[in-house]
Amino acid sequence: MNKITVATDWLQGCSGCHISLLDLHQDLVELLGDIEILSSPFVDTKDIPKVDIALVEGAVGTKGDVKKLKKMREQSKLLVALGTCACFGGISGLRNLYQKQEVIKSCYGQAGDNDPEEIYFSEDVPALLDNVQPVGKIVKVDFQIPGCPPLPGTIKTVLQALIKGEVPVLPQRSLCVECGRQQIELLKPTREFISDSVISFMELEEIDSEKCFLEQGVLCMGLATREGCHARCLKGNVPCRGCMGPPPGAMEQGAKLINSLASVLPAGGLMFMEDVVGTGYRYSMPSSIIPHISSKENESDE
Amino acid sequence: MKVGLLFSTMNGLISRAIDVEQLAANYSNNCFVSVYENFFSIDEMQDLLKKIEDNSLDAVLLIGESPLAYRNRRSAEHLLERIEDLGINPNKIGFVNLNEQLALVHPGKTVYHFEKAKLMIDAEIMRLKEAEGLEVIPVAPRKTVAVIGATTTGYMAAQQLLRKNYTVHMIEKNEAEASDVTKSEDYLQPLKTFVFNHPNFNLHTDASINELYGYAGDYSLALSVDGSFRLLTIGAVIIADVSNLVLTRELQPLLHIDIDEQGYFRPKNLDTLSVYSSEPGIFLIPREAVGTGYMSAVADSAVLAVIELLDCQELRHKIAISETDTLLCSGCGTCVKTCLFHACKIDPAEKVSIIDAKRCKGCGSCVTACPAGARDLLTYPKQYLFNAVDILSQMQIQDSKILVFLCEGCGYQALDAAALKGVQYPIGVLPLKVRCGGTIDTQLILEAFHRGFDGVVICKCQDGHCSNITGNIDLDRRANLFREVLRSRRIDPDCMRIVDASQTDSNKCIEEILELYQALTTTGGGCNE
Repeated sequence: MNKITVATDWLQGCSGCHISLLDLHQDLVELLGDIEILSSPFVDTKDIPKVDIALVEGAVGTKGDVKKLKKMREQSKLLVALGTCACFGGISGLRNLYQKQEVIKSCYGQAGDNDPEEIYFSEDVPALLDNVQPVGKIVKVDFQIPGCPPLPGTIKTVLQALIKGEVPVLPQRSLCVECGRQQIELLKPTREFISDSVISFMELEEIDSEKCFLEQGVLCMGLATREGCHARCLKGNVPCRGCMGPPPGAMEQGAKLINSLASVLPAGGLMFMEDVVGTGYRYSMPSSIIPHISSKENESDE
Repeated sequence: MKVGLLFSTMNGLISRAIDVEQLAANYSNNCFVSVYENFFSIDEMQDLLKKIEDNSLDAVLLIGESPLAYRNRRSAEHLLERIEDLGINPNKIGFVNLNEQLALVHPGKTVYHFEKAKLMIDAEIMRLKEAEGLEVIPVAPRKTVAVIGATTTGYMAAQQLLRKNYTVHMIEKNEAEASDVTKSEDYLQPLKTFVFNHPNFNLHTDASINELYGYAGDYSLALSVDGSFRLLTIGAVIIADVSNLVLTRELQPLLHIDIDEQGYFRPKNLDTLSVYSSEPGIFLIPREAVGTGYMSAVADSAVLAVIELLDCQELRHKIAISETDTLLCSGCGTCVKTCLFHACKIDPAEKVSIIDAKRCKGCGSCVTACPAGARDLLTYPKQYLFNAVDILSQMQIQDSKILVFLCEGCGYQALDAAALKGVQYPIGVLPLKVRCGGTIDTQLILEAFHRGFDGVVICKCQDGHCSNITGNIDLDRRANLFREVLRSRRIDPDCMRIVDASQTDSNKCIEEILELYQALTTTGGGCNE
């Protein structure tokens, strides 16, 4: 039997998802019995040949990313978005809250408003797009593996299914199901909030490792975040930051978080204690319903 | 699905703004269409029902009058019952209010009138397509009635019910002299003697109501009498002590029926349905009753309404909330926290939310609060609302466009009332009816701005008036946080307005809309994305 051919590449990401693939250790050797990686940052070939499966890590932030991504789509039968950046835009997507010019200025310090882009960008340093976009907004994506990074086991499960020609199935409820901390106040229908105040978890005198973070007054993204990470942060006594992105039943993470939290934690406290926007959209700004600042705002400077 | 569009020109009223025949012709390729002068004339109603049957329609859209027109008149409600009898699910009957929301408020007859009518119809067709049929469960009506308040009218009602072989539980908060026949006025003594001697009469004094749940025909009423608990199963409730404001304030959060500006229970319609409350199994004896003759007349009216409800083999209860999608629900508990009707529970073994259909009012709080999107409101499915926003946003107009979310309980009624008073507003104001203004999903507001609306207005009930108890408070909390999201996208948060609408004071709602419109026009729609 011919091996399934695979190509992998990264766009605007941190390479963490590729590291997660390597973290399969011996399982990777086993997997390589069925697949052959023809091109990847790991192997010598960087040109993308025709393959069965392409794995793409990272969001689309530059003109170079667009070019690379379109090439991968052309050359592959199935394209898999690997990791939260590719699926939803990820951390770097937070730059969509600013105009491109503001971003350049903040990076290069001296930049003047009327500088031509060529000063900063060239063939080797591809020009920034106006906004960061998830892979799915540029090309058709056949399957998404969320996670920052995805668990090695998840990558394996998906690849094994694809090798067999099956549609992979990933769990899609919210993280509370994996967390297992005890809820008491949240299960009481009352007008009152479940906590008197909102506190940063660093300020907790003692972190109760058995009790729901929300009930301790700490903002936790778990309820508006997809399961699949085995709640490792929560088991390590740290609240969820939402890196798995929204569960598929929600349209977007930030607004959904507000819908839920507003009747759970004191809204006033949240406003003063937490960066509501930064928290809700930390990993998924480019896949929000309004994925960047108002385009009028953008146009006015162009 | 075969949709029938039935147009009413309302005896020419609507034709003043739109060429109804031409509008109907627009849909004749894909839908069954028929135009009437007035649905309620005998001939036309017969014809309408016959056409629904002959064409074996699956869904019906009544275009012309406000849906309130059907709710406020028994005779008009009758049309809906007849349509349901023909096998059309209640959720597959739609309304497009071309009268109050178009013809009356936008004088003239321009291409914009036509386009707006078309979009309003398209949006409602979308609802009929997206909305699944409601599950209708048969209820065997219990011939037992609770009368709250040992008042004169209460005894009068009890007497009539007893005569008709109903069992009566009279519930009185005070340790009443009520039971002491000798202390009553002369004319009441024979009445009380009859009632007290009747084997089917039960008096609970010193009783307070803890909870009422269930639906018309089959309620459970939890009482504590003298420190001990009793659970009564009853078919309907009559409130006989409606002028008692203290009692009303205690009962309102338990009975979940509308109150008016002064805090009294509000009848469904003061003029036409004065003994009906906003809940189908709870009836009121109007408080204006003075003089024994009039008192017995209003008591009889309430009794007649109860008998009309319960004197049948089977009642139909419609369930408005969807089942939990177990593939999505993680049992996080948010729905339990937000449901003040105590209708949600978490199954600890399965870690999924379960709904108690007997307690659920279909308000949609849990749908909005659910962070995983595991639940949906069958009457206004999420997908429909998003599609409706998209459809309404297609209105081609130079001036500003405002989307107004109209709460069933307040805003919709307020805008209708304003229209009847002769108020006018710009054609770029596009209305969308929702179950409860308080349960607006912030994702929907984002979608509206995304689709090019310059402003969004949300109507919610005044404090203490929300039939979903905390819907209005939750909305304020959400909006406080959500403004930050709008600001982050550099959309002026002032372009989202929240109006305390009231059913009777329509001015406030309109004023707010006009003010926003004015602000948007002067800034050239600067709020737009």
